[in-house]
Amino acid sequence: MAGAGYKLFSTGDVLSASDVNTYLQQQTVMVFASAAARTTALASVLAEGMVTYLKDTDVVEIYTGASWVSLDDPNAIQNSLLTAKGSIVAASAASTPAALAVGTANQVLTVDSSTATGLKWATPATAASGMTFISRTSFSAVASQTFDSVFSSTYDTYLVVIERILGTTGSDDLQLQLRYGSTTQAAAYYGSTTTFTSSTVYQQSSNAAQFTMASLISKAGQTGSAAFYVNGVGNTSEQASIYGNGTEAETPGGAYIFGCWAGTAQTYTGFLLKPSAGTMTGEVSIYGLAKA
Amino acid sequence: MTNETIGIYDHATGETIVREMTDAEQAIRDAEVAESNAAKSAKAAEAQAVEEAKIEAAAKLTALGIDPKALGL
Repeated sequence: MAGAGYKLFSTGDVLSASDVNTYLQQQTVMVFASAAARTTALASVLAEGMVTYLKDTDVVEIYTGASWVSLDDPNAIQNSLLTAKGSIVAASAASTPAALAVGTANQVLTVDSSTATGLKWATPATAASGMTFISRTSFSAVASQTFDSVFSSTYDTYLVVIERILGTTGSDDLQLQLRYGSTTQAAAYYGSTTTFTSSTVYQQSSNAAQFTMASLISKAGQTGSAAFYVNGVGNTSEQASIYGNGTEAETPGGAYIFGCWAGTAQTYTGFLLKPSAGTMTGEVSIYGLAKA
Repeated sequence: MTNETIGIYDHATGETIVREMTDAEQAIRDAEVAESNAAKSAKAAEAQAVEEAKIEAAAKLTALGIDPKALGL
């Protein structure tokens, strides 16, 4: 029977049928067309330790005395475990391989103790911190430029960057008004701007129709820039505040800082920039600052 | 007479419109510009009045034989 072990044959020994059966046939890797062919062939000689190769499945199996098991089972991962492209091997418990099917585009592997494997493919959450680009708008020779639907409940605070702002004359002021829906808030702005050049100039907006944020925005051929934060907009009806600074394009050159408060509470959704006279050209980028 | 041009960007639709102001919008714009100019003129006049008052005061002090510079003026 299989498991007879090893016999050292000496010169003149007789090779009996039993020797051939037990030391040779039953201790080799027997090749069969299928499991059914093996069952037929070994019906009366099955013995623990037999090893077979099945041609139809290309599997090497061992007879345990009770059943045939794959040679590499249970300590190897079977090809059949992975049934589709993108499947990966995880574990549903200690020493228990399990397949995890592929997720969808741009998902990432995430720990989740509620799933069978403790893993899942999930879409990464939007970054909870940092600054998010909302829009960039260029304008040329306009008497006003409106930015609608840029404030929402997604953020509490917004950063507005003004680049290459150029007015018609060197005496134009840059003014701001908030908007809610398609309505421009044209009253109750309270704020001040301080401009530092060869002298210090204060400019105040008190219950004004707009907030004058820069005393001068340009001198022909010289563009200015500014950046300001806006909060109290987009969420509920609030009195918004605006604060920032910039540089004016004017000889001898200077800087300005400003702050403003909108005395009328609204759910502001946008704003409008305009020169105090004439037209302006420039670019404006808007960013949202994450709440947490 | 041609009205001024305005730009409107709507982030909800992604649409940018550049168009001529309506007459009503232009009227508001003209009023705001006039208001801004008036405010500037008033501020300039105020600054001018302060400067003239300084000169007048200095002249009076000088007439009294007092050097304004000695007073730090």
